[in-house]
Amino acid sequence: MGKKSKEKNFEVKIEHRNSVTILKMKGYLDAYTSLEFEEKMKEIVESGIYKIIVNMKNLSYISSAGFGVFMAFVDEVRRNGGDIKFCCLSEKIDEIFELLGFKHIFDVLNDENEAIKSFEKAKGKNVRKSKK
Amino acid sequence: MLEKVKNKNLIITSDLKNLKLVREFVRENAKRFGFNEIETEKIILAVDEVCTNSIKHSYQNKPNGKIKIELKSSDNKFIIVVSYDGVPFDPKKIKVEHPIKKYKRTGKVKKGKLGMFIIYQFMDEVIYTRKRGKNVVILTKHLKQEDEKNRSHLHA
Repeated sequence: MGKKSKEKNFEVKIEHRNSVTILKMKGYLDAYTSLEFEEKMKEIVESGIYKIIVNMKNLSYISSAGFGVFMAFVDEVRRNGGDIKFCCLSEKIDEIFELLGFKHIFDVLNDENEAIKSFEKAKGKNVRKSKK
Repeated sequence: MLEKVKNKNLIITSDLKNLKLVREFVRENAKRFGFNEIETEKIILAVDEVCTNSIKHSYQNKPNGKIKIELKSSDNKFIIVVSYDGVPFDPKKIKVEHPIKKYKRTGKVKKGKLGMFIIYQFMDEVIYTRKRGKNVVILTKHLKQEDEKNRSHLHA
């Protein structure tokens, strides 16, 4: 009998590091679990958090409904000087990002530190811009 | 050479909770047919999107409808037939656009129709039809030669 690769349910842990919030995703994000996740994202964005890193290391699956949650909020967080950036994608999810062209729409970084640094760089750019 | 998929069926009720069962059913059989992990993932995604659309749009989120997922094969073709009742669906009425094109055209990130894009992008053939009053979606994926080689290597 071969091992069946059963999917684990969805879970998200929220960590705050300096001015950045990290969402650690676990399990699968489909049309069912994204209903709960959308509520969580709404709370986060409504509370004024706009610099968001999504760590997908332990995410086993994402469908259009899961992507849809990020797509629904990204314009709003960008308008407020923030962004939604992704890191630590599995090979499978990385390929899906590539095929859907999401790497042209979203920043995808190798790890959390790189993602945090890219927010700092963006902040630096804004400062330079505002001095002009 | 290829393991034939002999009319395997799964019937679920139209509840989003059941998408997980569909993915496990498709994953197991697509892998056994010889697809690698990435190709298997694409097939799973396409079937998930068809089932999600049927629950959300044809059954309008009512959980008492039925969705039948049937797996077949013919030579190197892996075929998934999804049938369901509810509101008829005509894909011609939906404009499917690449997410990047849409982003460049509108300057905004819009989530609509991404599921339909995935279905058409990840499968080799997609047919939407009506049979005996039911909506029927036929999805086909071809097993490429390199996958077949992997398969025969695995079974050597």
